[in-house]
Amino acid sequence: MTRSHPSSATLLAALLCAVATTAVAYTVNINAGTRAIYLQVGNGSFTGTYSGGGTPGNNATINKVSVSVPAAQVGNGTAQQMTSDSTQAVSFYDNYSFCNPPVQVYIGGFYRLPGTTGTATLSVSTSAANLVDAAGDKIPFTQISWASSGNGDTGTEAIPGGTFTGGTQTLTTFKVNTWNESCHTFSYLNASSVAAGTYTGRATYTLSAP
Amino acid sequence: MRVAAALLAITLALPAAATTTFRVDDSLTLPSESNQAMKWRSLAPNRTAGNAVEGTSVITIRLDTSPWLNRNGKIYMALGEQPIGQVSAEWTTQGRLLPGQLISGNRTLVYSGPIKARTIEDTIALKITADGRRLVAAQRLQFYFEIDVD
Repeated sequence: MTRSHPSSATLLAALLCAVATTAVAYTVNINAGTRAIYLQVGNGSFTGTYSGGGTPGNNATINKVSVSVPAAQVGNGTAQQMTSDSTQAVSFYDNYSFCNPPVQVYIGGFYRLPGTTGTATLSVSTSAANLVDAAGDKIPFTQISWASSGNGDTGTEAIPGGTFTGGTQTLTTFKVNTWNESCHTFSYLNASSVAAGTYTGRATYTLSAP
Repeated sequence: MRVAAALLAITLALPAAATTTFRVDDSLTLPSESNQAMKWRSLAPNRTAGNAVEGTSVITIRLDTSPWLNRNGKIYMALGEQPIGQVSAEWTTQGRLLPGQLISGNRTLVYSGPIKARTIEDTIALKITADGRRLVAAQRLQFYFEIDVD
């Protein structure tokens, strides 16, 4: 009896080795998706369709918002609604007619990142503190504000309304893997009398992620 | 009455036919291990494609069926539950095996019938889909095969 025990143990070990050396699974290592970030202000480009796995494109268009203030109303404190040359009405999210150009300017985008945590920050910077005309006269950027809405929207807008500060300001943050969009209607606050002229300035929107 | 009831229970528990399941040796499959770069199904998140990532591999499956030669069997491809949630696999074949799809934690029939050869070989195009929000690091998917023989 005592001699049979080692034999049993040896046999069992041999069988286990045979099983262990037989590969019975092929392995596919899958890696996380790549990071991506997209921002659209005004007119944008998109290739393909969502259902076909569409891809955002680059669009170099710089849209303009403007208003001509009647002479009798200059500086009377009545805000003047601006209009844009943007023609972007549909959202590339689902081709829904979301904005109403030329009054509204579409702004939207997303931040692609594997996982569920993380944010991208949307900010806007103006070219200077003031809009300037050919004679060097100035209107502070703080005289321009915007309201935020969107067809069919309820509740808080993804990119809320505000007023330019004349510098760099944070507008909102985008949560990862969500589409964020709003339509902005710009207004000139018309708070003070200024010299006649065409005043221009540029606002640059930036979506950044760590 | 108590004896009769016990006999009835035993009768119901008996299977119609005894089937035994074995793991199939696929150690000659090429490549036995591969790396698949996953891509977002849609670069932008949306209602249709959501946050899925997907990738496709071509794999030559070689199954050692010699232990069950001249027997009838059903061979399944299987994938265990994954810590990253549901992973789905969909494949096409050259005809030796059945095309199909598989959700992690399950198995899918790829062959049914008599085992006439010592090896069953086919090349499959395997598309894997996972939730990109949960796939934040490389994940090993170990597919394996089982055979049910009568």
